[in-house]
Amino acid sequence: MLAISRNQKLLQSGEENQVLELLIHRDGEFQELMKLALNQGKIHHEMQVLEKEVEKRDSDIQQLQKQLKEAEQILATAVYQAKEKLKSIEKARKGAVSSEEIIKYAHRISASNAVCAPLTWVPGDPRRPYPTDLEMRSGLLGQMNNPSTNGVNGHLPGDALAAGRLPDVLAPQYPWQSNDMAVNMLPPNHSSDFVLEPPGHNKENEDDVEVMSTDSSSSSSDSD
Amino acid sequence: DAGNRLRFQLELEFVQCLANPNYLNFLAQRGYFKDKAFVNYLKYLLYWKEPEYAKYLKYPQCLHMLELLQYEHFRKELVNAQCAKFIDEQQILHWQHYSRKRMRLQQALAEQQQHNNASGK
Repeated sequence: MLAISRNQKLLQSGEENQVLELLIHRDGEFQELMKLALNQGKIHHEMQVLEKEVEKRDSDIQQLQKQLKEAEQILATAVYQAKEKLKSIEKARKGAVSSEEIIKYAHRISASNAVCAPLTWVPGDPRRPYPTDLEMRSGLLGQMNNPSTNGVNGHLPGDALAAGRLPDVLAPQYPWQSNDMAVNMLPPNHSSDFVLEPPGHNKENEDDVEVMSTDSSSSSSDSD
Repeated sequence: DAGNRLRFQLELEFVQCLANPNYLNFLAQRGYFKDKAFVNYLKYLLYWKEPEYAKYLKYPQCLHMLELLQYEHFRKELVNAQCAKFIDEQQILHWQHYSRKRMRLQQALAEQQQHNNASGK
């Protein structure tokens, strides 16, 4: 017991100063920490203010982005429509035909009753809106296969009379077989996928009489 | 170039022959529409649709027939005589369309003139 009390006394005298110094030291540290905390608080506050600014700027940028997007949309539509318009202008320009030519052509196809029936047409009239057998046989294609059996200019007068179209005999060619083509008006080159001569006319002239005017589906002979 | 000139005239004649439904029936029954080379030839003939060629056609209706001939179904149908006859009848009726219209107009005009004369006096 005595040893403990002596220790306590010793402790008290020697270490009072130490404890006091420690206390002062601790207080000093505490004060420092307080200052630090205050600073940190200020900084934190500033950070919050800046964050708010950043948010505001962000929303501004997003707004601007939306507007730019809309503007781009509108411009793209306008450009597209302008391009379409240009295309149609080009197309119209390409298809332009002189009115004189159109009138000439209209004259040509109507005068010969090719697209409009003659006013005196009655059933029994041999005229048709397409080339008839007679016209076909008298044409260039028909001539190619029957060089020897023709009369004057390839017309058998009897045929023409029978068809009731006498005036046509006087024309050297039917107007549907062009005579006035420009020499540079050549048909495009064909591929090798088909035969050069239209095959129909070789056989047509032989079987013409029985097949073309009637509707029978059988023919007597097919000569090759 | 005589060869090309001849080819031009031959093709001009042939393409217009296609306006004749009886001829088409003839070709169908002879089996030409089954020949691939012939079908290719029909496709080649489509150049007559261009204005610089079409202006030589006296029977521009042939172009419609040519367009229809590009379809296999049409080519197959043409083997029937009734089909060709039907087309022929419709063609002739259409051909008479303008004459009929003109006659009606003339009649209407004549009637109106009569009416005017009657009311004038």
